[in-house]
Amino acid sequence: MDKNHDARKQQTNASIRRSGKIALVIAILILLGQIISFLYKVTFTLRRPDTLEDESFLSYLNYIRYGTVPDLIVRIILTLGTMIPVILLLRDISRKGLPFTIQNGTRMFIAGIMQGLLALLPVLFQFVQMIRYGDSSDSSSLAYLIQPNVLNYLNLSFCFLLLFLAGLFRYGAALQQESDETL
Amino acid sequence: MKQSATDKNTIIRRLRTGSIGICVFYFLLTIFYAERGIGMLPNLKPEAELEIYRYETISQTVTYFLMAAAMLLAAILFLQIARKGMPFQDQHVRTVCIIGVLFLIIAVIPAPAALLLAKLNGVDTAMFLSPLISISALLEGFLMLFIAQILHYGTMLQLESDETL
Repeated sequence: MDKNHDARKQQTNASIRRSGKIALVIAILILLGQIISFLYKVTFTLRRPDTLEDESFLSYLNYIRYGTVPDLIVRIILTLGTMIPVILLLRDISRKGLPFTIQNGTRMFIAGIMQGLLALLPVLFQFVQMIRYGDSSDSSSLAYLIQPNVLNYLNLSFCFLLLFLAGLFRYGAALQQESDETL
Repeated sequence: MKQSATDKNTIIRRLRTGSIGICVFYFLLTIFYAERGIGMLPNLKPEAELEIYRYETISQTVTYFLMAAAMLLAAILFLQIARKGMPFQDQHVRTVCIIGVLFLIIAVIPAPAALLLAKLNGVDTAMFLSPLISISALLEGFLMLFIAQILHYGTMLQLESDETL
């Protein structure tokens, strides 16, 4: 293996480490934002007045329903379940510059499962409502469950991406192990 | 080393199987975004109630078509991984880079460009409601570029592994 290859590898490691630090900061800020948003929504939902104070747009914004408190709690748990493994992964990458480890693959896998649950959660709630109050065997009711305003395709897309990356990281870990053993 | 080879083959087999499903999913998303973009086209006609609405529609239509392009590239990427079973290749790194750049374009170009076009045509832009920068698309773009870097490192490991064999 020529020295140029080793030099390029070192440069790529350093670059990944730098990018990992920036990504870590952004991920922590996103997590903090999600927590603050959750706390605001819960306190607002608990204190929400029954009627609009006046006809202003601001009053309407304040009246927006954020969903029930249990729904908010489940969402924040799943969001934490996604962001904490990602933050641990980025911390690992920012320290060592080596992304491919079995541990990182497992973290990606957990984050992917949490994203999938986050995507399917509204569908589950709707389905439970349909069983309790409506006809769940009606095909048009079932078709409603896969509408974009119910099934979150963005979260589902991230779920698939993270699960794929989990497999990719495990493959990369096998290659990394081979590389280390060769050296 | 032999156990590692078996592990690698098992993981590759799973990646190939998973890639087929993900390819189908992203292809469906391509159709979804393209359909949305095509559905917006009638709103570009001059008969729209508010002139500024036409320019917002231009911004949204361009965004949908760019998203469709990004999803199509992702579908093709996963199709190639499903066919060849080699995730760490330079062409895949380039594809992920292009997807990242597309997201960055979606984040910063359509809305400001539509607003500028409206101003140049003398349209009142007070009711232009679309956000000028999409933070989520910006983050997704940088995420894709970060993944491309990691894939690039993977191609180096793959090269070492192939030369060792």
